[in-house]
Amino acid sequence: MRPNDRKYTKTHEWVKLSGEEVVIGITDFAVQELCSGNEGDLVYCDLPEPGRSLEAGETFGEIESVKAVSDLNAPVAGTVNSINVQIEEHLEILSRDPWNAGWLVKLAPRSKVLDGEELMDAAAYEAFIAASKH
Amino acid sequence: MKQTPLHDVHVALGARMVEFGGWHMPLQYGSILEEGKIVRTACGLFDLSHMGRFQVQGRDAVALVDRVCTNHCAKIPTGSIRYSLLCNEEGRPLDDLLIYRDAVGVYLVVNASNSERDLAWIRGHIGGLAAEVRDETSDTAMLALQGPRSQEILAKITRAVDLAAIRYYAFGFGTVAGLKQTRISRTGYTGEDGFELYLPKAEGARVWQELLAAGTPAGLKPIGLGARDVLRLEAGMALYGHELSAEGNPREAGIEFALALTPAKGDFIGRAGLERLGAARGARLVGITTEGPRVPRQGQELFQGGAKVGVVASGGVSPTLGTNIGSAFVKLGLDKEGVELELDVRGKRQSARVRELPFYSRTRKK
Amino acid sequence: MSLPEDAGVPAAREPWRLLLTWDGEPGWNMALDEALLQSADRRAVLRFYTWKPHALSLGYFQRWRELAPQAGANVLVRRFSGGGAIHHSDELTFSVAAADTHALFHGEVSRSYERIHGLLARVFAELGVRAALRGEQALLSERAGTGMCFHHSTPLDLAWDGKKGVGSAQRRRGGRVLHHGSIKLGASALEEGVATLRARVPALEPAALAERVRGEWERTLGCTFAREEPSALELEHARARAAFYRSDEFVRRR
Repeated sequence: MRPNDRKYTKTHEWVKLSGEEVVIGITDFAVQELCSGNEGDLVYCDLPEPGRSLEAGETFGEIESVKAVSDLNAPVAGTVNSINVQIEEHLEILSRDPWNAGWLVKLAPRSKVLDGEELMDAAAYEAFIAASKH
Repeated sequence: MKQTPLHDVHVALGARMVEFGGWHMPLQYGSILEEGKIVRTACGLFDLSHMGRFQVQGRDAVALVDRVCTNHCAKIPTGSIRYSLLCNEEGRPLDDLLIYRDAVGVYLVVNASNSERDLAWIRGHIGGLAAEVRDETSDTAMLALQGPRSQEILAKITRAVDLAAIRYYAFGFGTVAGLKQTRISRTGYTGEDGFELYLPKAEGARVWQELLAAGTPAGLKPIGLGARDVLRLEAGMALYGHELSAEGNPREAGIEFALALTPAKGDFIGRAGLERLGAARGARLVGITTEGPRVPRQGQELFQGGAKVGVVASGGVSPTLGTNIGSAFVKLGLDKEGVELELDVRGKRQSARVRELPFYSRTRKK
Repeated sequence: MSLPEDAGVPAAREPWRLLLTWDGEPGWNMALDEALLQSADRRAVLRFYTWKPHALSLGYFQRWRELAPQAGANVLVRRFSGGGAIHHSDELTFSVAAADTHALFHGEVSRSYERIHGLLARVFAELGVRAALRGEQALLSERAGTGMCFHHSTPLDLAWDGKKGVGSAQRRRGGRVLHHGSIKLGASALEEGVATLRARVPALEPAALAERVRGEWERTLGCTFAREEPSALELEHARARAAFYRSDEFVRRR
């Protein structure tokens, strides 16, 4: 079971309230799809400059594995407060701890409630993944 | 005091020599601030021969490293490097180190001041494993090139390897100044692009001179440990004895990328302790800048009104920002960019402001 | 390393779109693929193409300076997919776009590589070329540090005669996937030492190879194709975006 303290998107990002901020990352499922368990297969990650304003659904960065480049999409709207600069040089964090140490960006959100139509709770995300596996 | 193979070269260059981790090392050749700027804009040459270098070999070399280190050695692709801690049973750091995953085994690079203790600790945990640890420190020299022009300079005396193909935190082997199969890693402790070279002891001084000759037109200069310390602070990199220590909580120190607390890693020395320390976090390592003339120093306390809310881990004058900077453990809740605190400097209060680390990132610079 | 005999993919109801766009201008080629990725969740599409003039395409994350020695007088574009640089000269290029839930793409990225490379290996076998996934063997086509896709390989790459012969890359965006493939027909001076089909099948032309790939695609995936042209909207997008893909702004973005 994935963490219950956050919401999930169909493009496999998670978003979590933390005080005045929201924290965004990608799920273990997304990481597994990209690198099949080989942490060395993740090669690049581009994150946005702090201060950038993002709309919900907007691409805020990209991650590359040896096989594919994937967009990173903002689950909610807001302004980038900070980014996890360690990620760009230590991508293996993502394959190890995508839920905490592997956070990607922190936003000052436009709304303090995570109630976007597209957002799923952990149970709904599990069901979504199960369905996508056929 | 121990001397590196480059000792007489430093003395001849007029370096100010100091004791560091039991070694007689160059603190500076000129101005520390200038030396820092050279590394940020051109390239610096460092003697790091004091650092501990261990070759771990045998069928269970990886298993031994995974038993004592917090990162997951078995997961490291061959040719890659990971930063890790070595912890005691309580999860308190005994040292921080780099793990090089070879085709033949594992190579470890540890801090000079902890080298002997690390060696005894690792050997003491071999137990039934088929592994041995060889201390190569006194047989070898270690040099670093750090700065944006590092690759260009190293390429001038390097053959049989494509330096551009060596990624950050990876290594390869090539011919450096005629020395075949020299270990070349794209690593460093300044926040700049750069390389670290592992050489036979007797060749250290010759390679140093060849690098200087090749790099001087590009602005290469010898750089001392003083500049290295403030550059690593700008880059938000931990220094053992400051941000990390056997008394501190490593889970507060921003080095989570060194901890493989995954099911796949399995048990290792200090795992349970690290998990307990994770739940016991009360502060977080952040940057601080100060307004006044005084440079923050380790152990100085931070206040908000009458309440003590933090303690300084490191301090220095930033060559890049031109201001006084430091790192400090600040109480959770106040560990936010821009929060104003007061630094107590021997009874006098000076205003300080919380900053996110790092102060400097080469991938982020405009 | 053995190849999956078939991908175990259920028959799709709707026919795939089949696009043939020969001698495309390099920037336009990339821009049309971007349009295909945007509309990929509606109907799956397989596009075959060639390049006029020939061009060097950089992977999305590559540093252009590292390709400068190879660039020479070549036309340069950057792909939105990852991986290394490719010299699109004597080759058949294809792109496949579909939803990431499509049977071809669902699951780990590496599985989709196995499916596509398995399919291509069967096409090559019909031509008498024994191609297989590289696995753990070392290839003769490896060249350190050229930045060229064909000089670097992974276990899932398709090789014959001990050399890499197919370049592959993907972009995943908003639940849609575009897979880029490049099959070498003849040699390029920039891609020394790689496997080519013409070394074994001297008269092979891009259109004939495309027809064989289409046939195997139908057999493997149990799908049918409808030969179409890019839609007016896609053509408009490709026209508008072509210059971007060959612009300094994009080519030299890193």
